[in-house]
Amino acid sequence: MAITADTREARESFVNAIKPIWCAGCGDFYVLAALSDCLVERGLKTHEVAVVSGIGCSSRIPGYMSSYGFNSIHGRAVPIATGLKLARPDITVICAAGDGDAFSIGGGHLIHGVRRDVDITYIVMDNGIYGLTKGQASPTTPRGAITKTSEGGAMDLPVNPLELMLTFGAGFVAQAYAADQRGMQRLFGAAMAHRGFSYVNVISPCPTFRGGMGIYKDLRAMLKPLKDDEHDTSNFDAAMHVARDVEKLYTGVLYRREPREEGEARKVKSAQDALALAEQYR
Amino acid sequence: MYFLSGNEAFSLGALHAGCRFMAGYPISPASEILEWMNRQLPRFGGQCVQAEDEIAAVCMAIGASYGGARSMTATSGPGFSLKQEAIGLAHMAEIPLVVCDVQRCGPSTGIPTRTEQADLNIALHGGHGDNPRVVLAATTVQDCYELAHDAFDIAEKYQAPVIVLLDQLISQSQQTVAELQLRVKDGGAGDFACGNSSKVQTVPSSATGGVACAASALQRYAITPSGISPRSIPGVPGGEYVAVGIEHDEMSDPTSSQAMHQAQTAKRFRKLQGVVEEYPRVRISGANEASLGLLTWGSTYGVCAEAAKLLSDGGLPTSVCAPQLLYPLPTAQIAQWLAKLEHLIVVELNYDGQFYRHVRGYIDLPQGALQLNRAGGSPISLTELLKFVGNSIGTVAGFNTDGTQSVLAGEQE
Repeated sequence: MAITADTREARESFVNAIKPIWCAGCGDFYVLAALSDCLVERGLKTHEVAVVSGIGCSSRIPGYMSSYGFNSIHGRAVPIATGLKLARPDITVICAAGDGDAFSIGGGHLIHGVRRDVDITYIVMDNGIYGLTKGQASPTTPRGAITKTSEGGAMDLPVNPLELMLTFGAGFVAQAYAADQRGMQRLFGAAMAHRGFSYVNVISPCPTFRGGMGIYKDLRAMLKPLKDDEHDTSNFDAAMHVARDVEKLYTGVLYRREPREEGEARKVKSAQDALALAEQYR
Repeated sequence: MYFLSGNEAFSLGALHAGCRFMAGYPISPASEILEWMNRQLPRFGGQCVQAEDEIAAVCMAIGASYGGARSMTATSGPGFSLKQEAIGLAHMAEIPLVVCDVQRCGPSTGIPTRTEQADLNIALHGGHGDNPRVVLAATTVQDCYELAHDAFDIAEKYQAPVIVLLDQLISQSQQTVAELQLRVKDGGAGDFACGNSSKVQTVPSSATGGVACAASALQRYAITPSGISPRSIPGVPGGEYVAVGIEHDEMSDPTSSQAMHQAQTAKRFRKLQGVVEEYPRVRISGANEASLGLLTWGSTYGVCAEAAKLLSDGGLPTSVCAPQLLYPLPTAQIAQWLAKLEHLIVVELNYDGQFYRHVRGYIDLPQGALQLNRAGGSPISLTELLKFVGNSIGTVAGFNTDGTQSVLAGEQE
C-alpha cells in the first residue's frame, strides 16, 4: 500500500508536512512511517530526538521529520552522530543511511562506530543501487546485476551487511523488510532499547532502478522471519549462519549481546582548576 | 612569566575558551594538542576522541557542535586537506567549528617535522563553492592562547568554521611569555559540560537583528542584516530544525531557486563584515616613524620583530605588521600602516608568496614592494633577512650594503 501525503499528515508529530522526493513504491516511505511510529510509541518528544543522515535518497529522511535532524555529507553520518551523542547523551540519536553511503564512501567508519559502541541506532536502507544518482551499481548490488555502470553484469562481490557488522563485533544486529512496517517498527524499538551501537539493516526496495514493482513479490517469496523458539539471539554462530544464508530474506534480531558496563560519572573540575593548569608552565 | 610551546598554549586557550569536545587523529606536529586535550577534557566534563581518520575527526566535532558543545579538531597539512569537504558543511549548515592546522612542509607528506607557511591558500580557498572561512594565524606562543579564545568566540557567535593556523616553529618550540591574560569563558551556550542540557540556550534575538528564535517554527536560516540567524540545539522544545549541507530556504527546506541561493550566499558572506569589525587583529611593532615596513604573518613575525629592532637601532627605522586575522583581512589597519612607509618587504616562508598574493587581492601595495619568501624546511633566519634588506634597500646610514656588518657585530651565522 502506498502511503500518501494525506495519511502521513494524520500520523503523530514525528512526520512533517513536506512531500518526500521518493518515487512511488519506494521502501523508504515505510521506514519513515515505522520510525515515526516507533518514536511515538517510545514516548519521545520531537525535541528529544535527532536523526543524522548522509547523502542519498534515504538520507533525505530527517527532512521529512519534525524532530531535530542533520542531513550532512556523503558517508559521514556515523561520525557526526557519534560526536552528537558523546556531547549530548540526553538526546536519542538515530543515524540513517543508504547502502552506498554506509558501505562504500562511508565504509571506513563502520568498524569504528561498532568499536566505539556509542549509543546510537544505525538504520541502513539497503536497496542495492545508487538511486539518487539514478541507477549505478552499489556495494550491495548482486553479482551479475545489470545497472547503468554494470552493463555486462556487476563484477564485484557484494558486501553482506549482516555478516560484516557481526564480524566487526556489533552488539545488536537486526534485519527488517520495509514492506513489513509493523515488524520493522518493533525492530527499531528493540534497537533503540539496546544500550550501545545498534544496527538495523532494512531491505528497502527501489522499484525505479532495481527490479521494478515486481521486486516486492520476489522479496516476499524470500521472506523468512526469525522465530524466538528457533533462533537464539545470544548465539553468535547461529547469527552468523543466518547472515550467510543469502538465499532467504531473514527478518528479526540476529544477534544481541549484553551491553558493556557504564563507567562512573567523574566529578567535573571547576574554572579555577582550569586556570590553575597554567601554573605548570611558570 | 610563562614558558610553554604553541601547542600547549593553544590547548590551554581552547579549554579556557570553553571547548568541551575535541576529535583528532595523530599527526605531526599537531598530536600534542590531541594528547593534551585527551588528558584534560574529561576532567572538565568534556570529551576527546581519537578518531579513525581525519574526516571522522572533523565530522565528530561538527556533530558535537550541532549538539551545542564548543568543539574543535586539530591537524596538519595532509589531514587539513582531507577535512575540506566537512569544513564546507560547517559553513553551509552554519555550525560553529574550530579547526587548528599546525603547518608543516608540504605538499603531500612533505617534511613532517619541519616548519613552513604554505597552507594559507588551502585555509582560504580549500572548499568548493563560495565558501569563505574566517582564518586566524598565530604570530607568537602568546597568540596561540589568545587566538584560541577568539576562534571559539567567533565560531559560536557567527555560527561558522574558524581556521587557526599555527606552524611547526611555534607549535613545538617553547617561548617565554611575559604576560598571559588568563581567563575562563563563562556564560553562553558554550559553557556547559557535555550532557548538561540545563545550560542549553538559543541565540538571543539581539544578535540576529531582532529575529526571534525558538518560536513554534524556527527560521533557522533566516536572512538577517548581520547574517546571523537564530540557532537552537537539540533538547530545546520548539527549536527543532534540520541542519543541511544542501542549499536551503529560511526554514532549511532544500531549494534549487537561484534567487534563494543568491540570498543565502549573501547572508553567509555578510557575517564576515561583523568578524572584521569585531576582531581586526593586527600585531604591529617596531619604530613608530618607520621608513621600512616588514609585512608578514605567522611565526615569521618573530624574526621580523628582531630584525626591526636591530635595523631601527642601526639607523633604518623599521616597523613590522602581522595581521592575525588573515580573512577577512583587516584592510583599514594594514593600509594605515602602509601609508607612511618608503620601503616594503613582504616576508613569509613559502615558495609562491601566498600571503603577498592574498594581501594584493585586497590592498594596493606601494610600487616597488619586495618579497622575501622561500620554501620552508628551516625558518627564515635573522642573517637571511638582514642581508636581504641590505642588498635590496641599499646603503643606509649605520650599516653596510650587505646588511650585516654593523648590526650583526658579534653574531654568528
